[in-house]
Amino acid sequence: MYAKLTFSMLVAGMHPGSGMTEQNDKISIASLSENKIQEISYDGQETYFKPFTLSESLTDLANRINFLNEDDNDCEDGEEEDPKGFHQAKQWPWRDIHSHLQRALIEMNVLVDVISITQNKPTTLKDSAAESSDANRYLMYDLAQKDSEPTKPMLQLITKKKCLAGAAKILLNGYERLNKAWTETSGQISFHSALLKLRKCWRVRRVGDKIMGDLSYRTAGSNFWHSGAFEVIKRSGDDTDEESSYGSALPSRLKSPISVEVSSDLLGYAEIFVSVINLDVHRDSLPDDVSECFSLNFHDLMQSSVLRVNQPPWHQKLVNAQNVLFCKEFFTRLTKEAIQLRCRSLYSPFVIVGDTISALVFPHTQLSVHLRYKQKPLLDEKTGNSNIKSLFSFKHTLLQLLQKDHSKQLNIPTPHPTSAVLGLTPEMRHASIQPWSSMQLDTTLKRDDDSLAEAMVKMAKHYEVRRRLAKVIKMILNEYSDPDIQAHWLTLSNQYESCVRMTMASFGYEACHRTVFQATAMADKVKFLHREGKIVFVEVDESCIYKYLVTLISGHQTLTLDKLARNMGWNVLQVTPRSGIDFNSSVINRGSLVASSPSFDSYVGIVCSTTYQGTVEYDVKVKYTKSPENKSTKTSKDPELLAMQFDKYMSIGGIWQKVNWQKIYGRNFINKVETLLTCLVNYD
Amino acid sequence: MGVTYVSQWNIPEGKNIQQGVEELQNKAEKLGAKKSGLFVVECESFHSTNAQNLKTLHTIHNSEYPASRFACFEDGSFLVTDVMLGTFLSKLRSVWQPKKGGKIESKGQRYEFGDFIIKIGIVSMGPSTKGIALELEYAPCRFPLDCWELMTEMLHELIDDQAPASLPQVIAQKPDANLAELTALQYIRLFNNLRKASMNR
Repeated sequence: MYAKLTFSMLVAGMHPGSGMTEQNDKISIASLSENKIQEISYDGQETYFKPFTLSESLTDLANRINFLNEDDNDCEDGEEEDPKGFHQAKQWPWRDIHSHLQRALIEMNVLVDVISITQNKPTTLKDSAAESSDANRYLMYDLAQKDSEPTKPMLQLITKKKCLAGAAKILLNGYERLNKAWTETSGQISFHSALLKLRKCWRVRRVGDKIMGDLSYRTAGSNFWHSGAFEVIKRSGDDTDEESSYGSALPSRLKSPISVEVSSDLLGYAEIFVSVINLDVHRDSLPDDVSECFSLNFHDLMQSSVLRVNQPPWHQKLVNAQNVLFCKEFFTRLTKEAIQLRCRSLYSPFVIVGDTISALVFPHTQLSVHLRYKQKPLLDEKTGNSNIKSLFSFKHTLLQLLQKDHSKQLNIPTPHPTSAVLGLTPEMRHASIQPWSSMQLDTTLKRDDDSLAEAMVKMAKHYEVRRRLAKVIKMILNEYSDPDIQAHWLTLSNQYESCVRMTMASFGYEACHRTVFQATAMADKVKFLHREGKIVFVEVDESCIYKYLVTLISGHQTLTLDKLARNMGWNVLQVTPRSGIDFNSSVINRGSLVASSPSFDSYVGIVCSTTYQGTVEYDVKVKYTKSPENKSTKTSKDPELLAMQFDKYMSIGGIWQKVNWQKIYGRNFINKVETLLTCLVNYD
Repeated sequence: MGVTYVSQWNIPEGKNIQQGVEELQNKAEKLGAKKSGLFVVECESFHSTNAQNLKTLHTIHNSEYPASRFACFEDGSFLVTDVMLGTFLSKLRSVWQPKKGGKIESKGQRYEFGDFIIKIGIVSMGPSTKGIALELEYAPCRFPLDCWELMTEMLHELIDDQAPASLPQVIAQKPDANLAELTALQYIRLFNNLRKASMNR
């Protein structure tokens, strides 16, 4: 048999230029056999299909002709016959597959239709006409025609009633079952449901066969030594000994099957009591006593008795214990800082006696922090004392500082970018590129550095300073009605500083002149900021502040007079708002003004002075120069010649005369002066 | 955080650097200035390994801005960075190599006199001292043109004969620049002058 030699021909073709061609290889070529192999016997004998005889080939060709197709193709062009015949020839090998697929498609469609009908699926097509013409549907619904029955309203009503009753019965059954289940479960709170309730509020873990819990603030970042552990015990039977101290018989559903054991040093009730006391020996009662009593606890539920009733006893016990723990931590923290702190701003250092820390922040002001610890609840004692004003800022700031400290233990600000130094605040990270000088860095670092004790001292001092400032302002407002003084306390304040804005103006002459200044009460001084930019720091002594305000009043009067005289056309010869000298040694400040009328007829001299006692005194004098007496005295001495020729000399001379101030018409000082000035001008 | 003026103070004849510094310090203390610590201004120079680029890069460490380091070219570009600049530049050793001249620094006492800050420093390169540098800073003002007269008055008080006649070139060229930049540029100029002077000797 001649093997298929294509391979060897290829091989021969692949070495065109090699030396192998010089060997004359024999190449035998034979064509592929036309006939397919029918069978290869075991001895290698191959049996071929007999080639078609003529008649057989004719039948084969005839079979390939699709007579059906030819009927349709009669009307078509003859040109397309050839390609059609070609097409048919081409389709030929795929025909079987095509028919198989068609049959499969039909069967699938039928299956889908059957399933959709059994499932009562709504039709996907819009109208039923389209459905019936869909070539892929083999099975579909068709509406059945039904004869309409005569309506029987009574029957309908009865049937409706029956159906509703059936539905209602089902619902009622369900409700009864649920109700029973609920009453069963709520009637006796099982141990596990109570434990679940406990777990919703408190952290509990199983340790061996005990159930221990943690009520300390460790996870919030606190470093306090107390572990704050409590144990949950299953209670069996009716033990009424361990009921809460509220005594009265609780409804049975509150008697819980679990009870809680806390360590003995956390039992009881604790409260922190902070007060700023004014130790003024002259006063018998202490109306300015300021106290703030707060328990520094998030659970203010203790205060309201309404909510108390609904809580299970273990919750109240745990809340109290946590409160005690918090107060203890706060107090130990404060004690430690108080001992270590060398606070120069305190008048006397911290004195720690038992559970009270106290210090004198000012010579007569005492700040004291007292940890009250009792076995009974402390609520009842508080209501009696009506002098207690609440200092919200104290509580808030101290809580905030403690929380900040706790969170600092846990949180480190993530650096942006991630390669930057860990632990710096974004402000600090930007400080290096601003660039910030060493002074700026110092102030920023100092600002964030308040410990609890320092913060409290500063707040107490500020509170006291503010109180004094307010008192002095009130005194001034009561005493001086002449310039209208208004004081507005700004809301722009923090726990260490507060501001008051004061305006002085005489009534009716506000457009003439207004003195505006801002007084800031800081921890250890009072700062006065004036409109012209002048800043004055005054001691926190009440009399100092009073005197300063009084000098401001007299200065205001002088300046107003100056403006008034100018407005009225008078010539102001001299104005000195502040001169430190006076003939009278009891005067702190003397402000004076000398003005002359437009025609130089008369002169007015006004003095506003502040005495050491803190009062403002006015002295007004008038000098007439062109008075008839003046004229006569002049003419008597000098010959008429001089007097007539030199008229300008008439404006010299005259004596200063004091004005009868009581008789002058006018509401306030400035008004009176205006009256005076008007009168003097009209003279002549 | 104010306008600064930096200049070299010429030591009068016959005295050495230590005595010169003492003289200046006495003058400052007589005025009423109070000592407030030490100050350091260090400058390190780098030149590029790329031969075409002849610019030198100067890095300044000023104790007045402790959290920052400055880098600048003499023709103007200025950069403010944080303290890691040194390590960063050492990583770029292939591009910027430290100059052989080494570090120059001005170290000395810092005085505070009201709103003025006076710094009297000895300029030294390694173990050898080069001269005395005086820096006057007027803290409240941020605009050199506004407070130049005030500073000249103060300089007359301090160093009467050597007080400058007019605004130094650095400030005159860029009156609106960053204040730290002005200080750094003035110091660089001073250090370059001192380097040239010592090389000429």
